Amino acid sequence: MNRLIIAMIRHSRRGWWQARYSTGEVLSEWDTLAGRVRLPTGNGDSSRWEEIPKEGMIGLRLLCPNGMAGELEAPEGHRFFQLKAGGMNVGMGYTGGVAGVKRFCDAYIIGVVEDDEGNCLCRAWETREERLIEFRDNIHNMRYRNIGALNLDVQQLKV
Amino acid sequence: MADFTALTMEANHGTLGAPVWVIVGPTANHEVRWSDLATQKDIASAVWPAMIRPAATSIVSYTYAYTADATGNGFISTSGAVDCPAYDENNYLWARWNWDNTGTFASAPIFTAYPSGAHGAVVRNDGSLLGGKIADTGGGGYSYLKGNAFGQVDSVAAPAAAPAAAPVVGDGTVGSVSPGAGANWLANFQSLQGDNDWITAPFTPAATTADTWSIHFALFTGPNMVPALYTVVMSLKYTWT
Repeated sequence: MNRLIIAMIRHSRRGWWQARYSTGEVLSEWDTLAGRVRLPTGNGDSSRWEEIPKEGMIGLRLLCPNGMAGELEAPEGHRFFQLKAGGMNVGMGYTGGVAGVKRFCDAYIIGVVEDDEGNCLCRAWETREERLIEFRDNIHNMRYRNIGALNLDVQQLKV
Repeated sequence: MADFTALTMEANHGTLGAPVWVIVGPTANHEVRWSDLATQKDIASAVWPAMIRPAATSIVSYTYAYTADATGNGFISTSGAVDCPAYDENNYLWARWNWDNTGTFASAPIFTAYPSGAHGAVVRNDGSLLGGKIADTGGGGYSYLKGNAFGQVDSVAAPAAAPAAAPVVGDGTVGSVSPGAGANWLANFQSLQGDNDWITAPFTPAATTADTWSIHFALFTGPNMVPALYTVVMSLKYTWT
């Protein structure tokens, strides 16, 4: 990979997905950004996973700011998903509401569904811990960070 | 990433008949405050009065929506024209989460609370505001902070009635609870206790569609609460694509 891209990912301090297709094509998350700057810088302007082609996708990587990458593979068949887990805080009784009141992203997650029961293998870049982890879960009730059931339509999963 | 450009909590400092929604977070200097006094309008945070720990459990009656350090009105206070009314669950247009049309939820959102923005684990029965104390809050130690949520987004239909039951200090269920999908609240309020007890919406909101989700919350205190300066956060946890 281009050293400049690697440096940008490192500097962005977030994870970026990258999809591989059976045609040999590679689609990176920054290629899908809505803004004019399509590079892995900062948080990036909004992109839409739900609008990228899932047909022929056979691999999904998570490129991490520590230089590591997690990759998942599967035969074609709409088995991959990706999401970010985070939220927002509303202060109660702060001294002027300044400290700690913000939006946050705890994890950048990719996954692949492994069977008809919805069991899945996932990798996640955890932003506070600054580490890449691997875990098994189920898309119908994700225990990871109490996420619960994934919306299958949004992910365009066929299971 | 398809996150939201604007995602806020809004409080109604107008009336039930004519709501006036003001943003109480996550913007700097916007926040929710509680007091046992009805007259804490436009009070700088540095002189916000302490509360005396009561001899028996009780609700903290007055909830305020602050939009600057010294600018704030009571919930349902006719935009500050009257003193903050005492808490009443019948003021069902109380607060709501509000998001714009730029993001896509990947799962149902979650309403909970943490000791701080660090989102540390909450220890049940430790006497803290969120940890609770069995002698006061029951169960294995439910939170002193209780929440409720509506079973649908407001674009389908906003609440037209109050939760069936008023919050009580012993309310709580371990883990997640969800209101039934539709025009109804949780039958009983839920303990808001980090990753121990929380509320999960019974829906994943529509993709790239602005909407609001009505919620309700109430704070209790009691003789076994550990005195402290509490600066907890209420959180909307969600996933996006």
